[in-house]
Amino acid sequence: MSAKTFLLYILILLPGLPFAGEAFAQTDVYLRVYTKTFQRMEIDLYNFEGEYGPKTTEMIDLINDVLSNDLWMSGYFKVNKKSGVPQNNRNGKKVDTRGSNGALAQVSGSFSVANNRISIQPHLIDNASGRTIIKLEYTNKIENGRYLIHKIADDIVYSLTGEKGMARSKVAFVTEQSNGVKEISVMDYDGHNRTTLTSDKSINLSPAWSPDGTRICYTSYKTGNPDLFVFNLRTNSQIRLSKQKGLNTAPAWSPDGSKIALTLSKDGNAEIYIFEVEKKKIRRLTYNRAIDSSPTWSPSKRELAFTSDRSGSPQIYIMDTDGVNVRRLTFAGGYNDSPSWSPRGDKIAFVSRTQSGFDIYTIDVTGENQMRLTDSSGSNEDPSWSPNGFSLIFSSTRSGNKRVYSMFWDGSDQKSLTSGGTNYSPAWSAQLK
Amino acid sequence: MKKRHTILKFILLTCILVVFAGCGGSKETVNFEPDPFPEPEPVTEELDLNSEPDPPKEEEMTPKQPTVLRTINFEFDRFSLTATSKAVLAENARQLLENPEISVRIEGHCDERGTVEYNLALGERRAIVTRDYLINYGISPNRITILSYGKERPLDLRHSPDAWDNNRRAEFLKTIQ
Repeated sequence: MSAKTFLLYILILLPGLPFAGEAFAQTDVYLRVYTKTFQRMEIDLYNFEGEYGPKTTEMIDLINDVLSNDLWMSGYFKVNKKSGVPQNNRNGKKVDTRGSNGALAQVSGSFSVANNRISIQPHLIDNASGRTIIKLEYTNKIENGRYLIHKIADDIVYSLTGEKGMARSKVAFVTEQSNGVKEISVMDYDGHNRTTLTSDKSINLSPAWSPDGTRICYTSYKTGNPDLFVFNLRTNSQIRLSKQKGLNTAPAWSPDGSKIALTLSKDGNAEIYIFEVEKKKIRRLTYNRAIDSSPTWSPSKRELAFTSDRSGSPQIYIMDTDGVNVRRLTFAGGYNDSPSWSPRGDKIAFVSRTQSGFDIYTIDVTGENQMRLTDSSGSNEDPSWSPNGFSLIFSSTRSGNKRVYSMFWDGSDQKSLTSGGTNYSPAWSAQLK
Repeated sequence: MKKRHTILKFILLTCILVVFAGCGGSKETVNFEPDPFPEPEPVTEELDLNSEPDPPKEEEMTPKQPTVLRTINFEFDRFSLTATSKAVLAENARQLLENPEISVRIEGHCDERGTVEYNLALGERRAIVTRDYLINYGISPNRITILSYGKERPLDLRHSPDAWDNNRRAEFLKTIQ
């Protein structure tokens, strides 16, 4: 299959692309991309050539490891790590790719380091036609090497699939210290470059990204009451957004960034409200004596899924963003909570109480195809979708303290992203630059 | 050209099918059942507040007993008061009536199971039910504030059923006005 045929294939199969969004603005269209028969495209990856003194091998391995992980994590590619030298078209000749064994494309390249700056030149070739798709020079400070490689991976994913790559996305999460202090931390989507963002020495909870990745909203007890704060990553400063009496919790930024759905209890018990960020106005959505909490937006911005115990136990419900048309989504299991709406629109991940603790499930928004993704000792909680909707991050106690893990939509390839300490409530950002 | 038409038809047909499938789905409207808020309990205990105590004799003067407001516990995912909790609350109420200078903050807590956000709401329900019970005993609402810590401040740091029992609680913090 050539890259072009593959791209056409994706255009047909994937929702969320411009033509689908505009033509069917009136109703949400959910196409199934999650199928066991979806075949990853093979891509050959050669070691990059270059010279960096005693660190030469280290740099070759870094480029190779980060690129192959990024391409794998995109959900589209199966990477064949190749040794040796590709049959390159350095002389401008067409590449002989007959030996590529059915791989869609090949990636090779070179790098150089000078004056504390690294320069990487990837070369992406379409195997069917032998044509060069990418041959560019990427340069940055040596300490931003991983970022630079992520950027190359994102460009490869975009040029072969038409979808934005997510290798530069980030994960915000709660880090709990031994004295009970909980701060908000941030790391790259692959678990590297971990930093603690806040130093409030308080209880900080439930981080939520603004869609542009510049701000993180969270609940903090630092003034005594659970109030809502926004941390601005560009200015390294924070402001208090909401300080209503009682709870100011469970923030969820709307896909266009103009609103935040949240839980307030100022009117007597936990209800869901929408806060308009610019106008600073709040609008109440639920009127119920039960607990209503944990709202999550549909990518269409027209609906919210949320948790309510109005039936006697916590279950997942969906309502329109004006509070009407409430319907119950989950019926199996006596305790379902923590809904997270896939950016592709068709699935909602949630947590269900099982015999061994809690496990992560997905269900179609139609209420069909409930699927269990985790099945291990300990508890698996806090699911949050990747920006491309192919993966999830979550927290698990399977190896003792809570750690952040990632997995694909079908539960495959579960791996730990944090080690050491207690880390949970991960929130995956949108694609970033 | 013909191939293109076939693809377009395929897309259209798929979309139509999906839209129809969506319409046929279970769009159940849920009846809002009010939660069974606990009924106000009749006061069964004689508080005996009006009778004048005998003036203590000089030699029998003892320092006033410090007020101890005891913590109450809850069942899993519940915020209703157990019989034991009601008995403890009756005693706490008696002490509050005897010591009108004391105000309290009721802190609602949960065990570690379930989400952060749901437990924050559940802890608040526990604090509210506890507060309302005290108000029924005649404690002025002005003397009571509430705060939920959800599952964020466990009393018992173990991860066991015993620890969970200890951690589902409402605590009373005295604040002198």
